[in-house]
Amino acid sequence: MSLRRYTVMRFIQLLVTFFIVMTLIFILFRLMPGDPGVFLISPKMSEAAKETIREQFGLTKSIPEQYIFFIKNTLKGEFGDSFYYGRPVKDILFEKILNSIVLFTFGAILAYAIGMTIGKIIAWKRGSKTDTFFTMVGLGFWTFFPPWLGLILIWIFSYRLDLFPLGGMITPDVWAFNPTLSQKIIDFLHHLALPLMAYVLMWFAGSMLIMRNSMLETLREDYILTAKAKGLKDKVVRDKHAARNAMLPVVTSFSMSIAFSFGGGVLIETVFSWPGIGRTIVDVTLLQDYPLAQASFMVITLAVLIANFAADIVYAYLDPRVKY
Amino acid sequence: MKLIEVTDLKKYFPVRKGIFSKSDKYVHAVDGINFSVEEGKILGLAGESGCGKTTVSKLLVRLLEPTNGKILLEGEDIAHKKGKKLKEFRKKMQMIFQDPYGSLNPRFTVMDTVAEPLIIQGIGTPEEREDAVAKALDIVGLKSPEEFLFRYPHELSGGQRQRVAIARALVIEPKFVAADEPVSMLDVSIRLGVMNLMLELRDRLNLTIVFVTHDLACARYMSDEIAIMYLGEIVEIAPTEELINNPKHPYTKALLSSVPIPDPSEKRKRIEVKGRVSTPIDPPHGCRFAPRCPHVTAKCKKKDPHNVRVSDKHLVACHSFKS
Amino acid sequence: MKIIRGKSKTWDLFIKSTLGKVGLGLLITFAIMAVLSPIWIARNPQIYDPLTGKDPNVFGSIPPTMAHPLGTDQLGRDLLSQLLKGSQIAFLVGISVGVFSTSIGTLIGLISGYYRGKIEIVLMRLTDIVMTLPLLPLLIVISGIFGRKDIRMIVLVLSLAGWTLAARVIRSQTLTLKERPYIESARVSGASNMRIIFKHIAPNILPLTFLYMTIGVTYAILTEAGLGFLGLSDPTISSWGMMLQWCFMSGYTFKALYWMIPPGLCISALALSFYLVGYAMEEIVNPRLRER
Repeated sequence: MSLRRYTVMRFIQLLVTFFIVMTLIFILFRLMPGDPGVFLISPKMSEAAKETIREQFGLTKSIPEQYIFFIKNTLKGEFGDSFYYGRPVKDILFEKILNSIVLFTFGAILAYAIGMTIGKIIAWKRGSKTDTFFTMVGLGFWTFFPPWLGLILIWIFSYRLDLFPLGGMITPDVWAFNPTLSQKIIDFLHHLALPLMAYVLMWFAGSMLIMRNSMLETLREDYILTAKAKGLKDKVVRDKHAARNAMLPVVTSFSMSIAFSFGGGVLIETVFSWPGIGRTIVDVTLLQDYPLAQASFMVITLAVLIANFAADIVYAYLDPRVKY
Repeated sequence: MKLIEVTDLKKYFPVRKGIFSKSDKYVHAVDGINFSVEEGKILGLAGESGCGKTTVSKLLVRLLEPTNGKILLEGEDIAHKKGKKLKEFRKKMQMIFQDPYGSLNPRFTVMDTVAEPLIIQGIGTPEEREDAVAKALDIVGLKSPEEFLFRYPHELSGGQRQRVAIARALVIEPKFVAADEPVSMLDVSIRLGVMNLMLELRDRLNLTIVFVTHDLACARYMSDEIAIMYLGEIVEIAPTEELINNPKHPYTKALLSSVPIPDPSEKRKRIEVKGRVSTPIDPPHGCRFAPRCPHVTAKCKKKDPHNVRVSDKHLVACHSFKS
Repeated sequence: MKIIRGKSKTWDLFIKSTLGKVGLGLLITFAIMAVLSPIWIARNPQIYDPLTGKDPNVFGSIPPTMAHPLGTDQLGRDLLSQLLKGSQIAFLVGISVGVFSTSIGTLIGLISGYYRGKIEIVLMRLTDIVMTLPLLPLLIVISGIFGRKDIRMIVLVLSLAGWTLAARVIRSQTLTLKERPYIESARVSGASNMRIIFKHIAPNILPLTFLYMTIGVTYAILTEAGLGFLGLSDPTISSWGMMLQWCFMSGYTFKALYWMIPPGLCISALALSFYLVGYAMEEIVNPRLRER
């Protein structure tokens, strides 16, 4: 099968999965106790507004018809109005997901770069003190409870050392008085630093440990012995011959751990008051703002699916031996 | 009486391309073979690796279902039997595998392993089974069975393991045994012991055996009759001494000339075979051996050779031989 | 006897591993905490009950004293009681999810690896789908929908979602095991598929199953604690995640380190101990990781 055909197949799989998740959400929300439609109609709405919603989502119709309405509306991005904000859900979500993507992307890149670099070095020095040290530290961070890690970072760097803000994404006072672009960027990065550090600490260990194991397996291969026997420098053998091949399982693990990492993201966003989608889903669930909760979950799932899809395609591209 | 008779047996494996695409190519692992074995006799099935001899042995004990053909066991066709009916027949046939390290479950004791066929077939009470196991171990030369009953495979030597595997095959008193290279992975020093054991058991239990091997010397030692396979087909079949002393097929001749003889003073011409074994994926018409045969003619590449009768029990599939 | 024998070799190697020993030591410590919990509370439930107890002499959160070795929370409840009780809850959630999810994963892995064909394709697609479900957000939404938060429901959802990794690995192991000659040997004797799967293949993947159980436990402990921290776990039990949430929400986070440190430390350390046991196991059961 060609890479192109694989991409198409994988994309179809993505769509099917999303469809199944939509159906799951549809069923779950209809299992909700209370009046039909409680998840879309806020008690605070006017009669006219309630009628519009019933009309738009087909709430007076039979369940199968409601399902068709639901699918159509979801695909159009219509999730109704947020109970809490009183604005259309899609407008709110767009800005939240962007905030999350920034944090997630920076975090993932940094964590994987650091993790893989340390992983390849300690595998090469297997059994040394450096290896033991980093393996221990890595294992410790890997099972670190993310919000607790966040709280400790805030305690050290914000509360005691006063180096970074306690939370949030921007300082409203700075942004209120026509700041220059560089002021904006500096303020943003200042806020980004701590949550990013939490992300990296939470994540680098996973990629490091997998890279280490994968390298150890690769180093047993005969072509590594051949490369050494040719008289190549250690660094060349390690980076050019071993690490390149050992990277593949790390990519797979990335693809498989995306969903799990989003869970950690929710916790970190909550601790750092980062206005992302993860914190939103927690807040709106506590506020019983169901339209926004439902839409947030679907957006998160879609983000996971896309990230997963991308990782799988990259993997197929990197590994010519891949079996589809 | 013919205990087992095989007619036009074929096994084709589809060539797997991917999960989604169905294959239209087939490996012709076994491509229309015929033979029969008299009760209490041993047929040696010899050929190079990849010729399909192991597939034949797996077809005979119905580990695989044939694509085509008949397998008559005591006159009844078992080629396509399934479920309970097949299980009933499994009491009559057993197999001994090549790898004595792999054919015993590492988490089973000798007792578990040997008793398993009895348990599966629901034969006897636990006490009776234990007696049967002890008896089977005794027969295969593992004297004082109580010493072995509760050992695990990793506590046994290679020869002992193969004896346990044989005991397992014999515990339900089968009529027919397919032995797939049973000695090829054993040390040379213990091969003879295991082969003698099989011959002795044949005599005592009146077993019928198909003995698969790539080693002509072993085949000669063990068999009453030998069939030579090449790329899924039997090219020559004859009583052992007849085949060794009077080979007709060029491939048989080449094989025989490659067997070392213990007498250094004897001079003989070695027949060289050129080229490699061709692929068994959808092979073309004509003799399979044609691309490598020293006596190849134009006819060989066009027409499949049919079996030609050399004598009553000697058949050869070659155009250059005329009866 | 079979299993004990098979295990004992693994056990010898395991006990030689430093990481394994550390993990096991931590596990035992937490088990002792769980056992001590009822004893500590029984001294005076009116004061020491982790949820309803209250020391009449205490107002607001206080640092450690003789009567309250770890201090109290803002309602005057004993923090040590909560911490000990939390250990019980964590074990309960972790081990039940570990056992349930690994059983599901093992079964699905065995079946798809053994039968191949359409069953395999369906089950593996299902695995892919479940694997991409963001679990914590899903649990958040579910708790929002049903309002009532019940620890049994959390265990159920975690188990129904957490089997995927085990299923994948056990499937590939089954694929190699089913080609072993002893499987063919059993088949020649007429063994049924069920017998082959459960008598021949399953015992040989037991170490792997155990390894994935430890990973499942780790993930369950962390996820349940995460829910607790968000205030979405069962409010009728006192778990470590809830302790941290009470601390966070009552504004004591940085004023009362005696309150903030212990629950987070316990969550991380218990998760680590299970993970270490699994990690040490993997070095043993995965021969490809052994030193050449």
